[in-house]
Amino acid sequence: MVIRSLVSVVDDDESVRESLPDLVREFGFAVKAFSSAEEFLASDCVGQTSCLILDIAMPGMTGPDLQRELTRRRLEIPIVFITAHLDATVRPRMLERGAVECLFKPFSDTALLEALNAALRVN
Amino acid sequence: MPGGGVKHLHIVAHGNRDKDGQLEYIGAVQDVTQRRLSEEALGKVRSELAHVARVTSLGALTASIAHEVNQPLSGIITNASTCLRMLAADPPNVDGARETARRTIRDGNCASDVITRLRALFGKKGATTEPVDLNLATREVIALSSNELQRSRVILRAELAGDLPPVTGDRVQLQQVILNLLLNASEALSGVDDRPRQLVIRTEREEGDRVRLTVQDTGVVIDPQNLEGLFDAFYTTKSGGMGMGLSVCRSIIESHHGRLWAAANDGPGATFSFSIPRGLEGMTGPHRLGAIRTPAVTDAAQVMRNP
Repeated sequence: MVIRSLVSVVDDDESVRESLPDLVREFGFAVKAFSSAEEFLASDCVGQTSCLILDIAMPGMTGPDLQRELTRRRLEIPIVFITAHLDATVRPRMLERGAVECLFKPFSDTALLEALNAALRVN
Repeated sequence: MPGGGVKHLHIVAHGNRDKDGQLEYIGAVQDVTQRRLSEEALGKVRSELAHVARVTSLGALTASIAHEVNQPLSGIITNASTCLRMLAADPPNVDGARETARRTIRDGNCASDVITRLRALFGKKGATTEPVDLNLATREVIALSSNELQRSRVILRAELAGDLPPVTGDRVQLQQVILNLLLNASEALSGVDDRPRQLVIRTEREEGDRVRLTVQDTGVVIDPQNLEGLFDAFYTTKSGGMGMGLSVCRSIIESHHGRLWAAANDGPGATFSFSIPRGLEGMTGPHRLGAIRTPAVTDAAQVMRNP
């Protein structure tokens, strides 16, 4: 049996948690969705996650907050940030901080697949 | 009138019986054409101003709107992509495809709702009069600005009264006032870093058949002496602002026969409130908003009909 890499989706928007996992599953990955950074950290998926699809702006702990927390815990999970805010300065800032990619919603399935493949190569 | 002009007359008459029992009327006819024209001109200027202020707040809201629209667009693209992949699989996953197609339609409707809300808020049209559920109107404004508030790390608490009767007025204009008060309060909180940036919006029933809406921030301490100046046209503390916001808000509330005022809190921050009467009797046409009511005209007309 092939063990599929686990991709975790963290987004406070319910429609993203509903739609994105199906697409990621179609790509052939295993997937789990979380509504907040806190929920992800409290889960038993942290250690098994090969790639994190992470929303930037969330109430409570933000995407970058979670990234810092993971770094503090010395957990090097490749991160693909997603955001609906059209701010051109965000992407270079996120890449500089070590993100694999930063995608602006709405993004295409191929853009996401490329980002995921790049993230898993980092692994 | 000769030449096709229209004169507006205000007639007041009083019926009386003289000592022989004969009915006689004493009355006065007043030419109020000039007053009517000024009122109409004032109404037009007011709605122009309201439009300017709406467009100004549109700038502040652009980021929030982009987010509101991008969210459902993102759902549409993701779901449609998944749908195609499910259909292309061997064997095709028809149930899955059907579900994702259904979600695509739903998200499309979501995007279209956002646009409808925006057009209602920013479209240019004259004042209208209708029953307005102030709670619902407030919730729509919160939905539109929630992202802007979240970005500014403002925590908004809504305390909307359950027993709020509808008011009569222009929903869009009232929403514009609420939006202005919310964005102002959020701005007042932008310098606050030593405590939560908290904002409370409250609706409540008032005595005397009035409804009150309050926006309370915990921002900078305001000198009570300066409170009235906030409502002057061109008063602004913002580098890019025109200072029209609160002055237009006040004129809108006054055209609803209401009051808009500010008070300094006991602690930091300020509280902005408006209070409007539940119903405006005698308001029928769209142009009546803000016009001076003249019930004497109807009384006189009735008297004149049965001499």
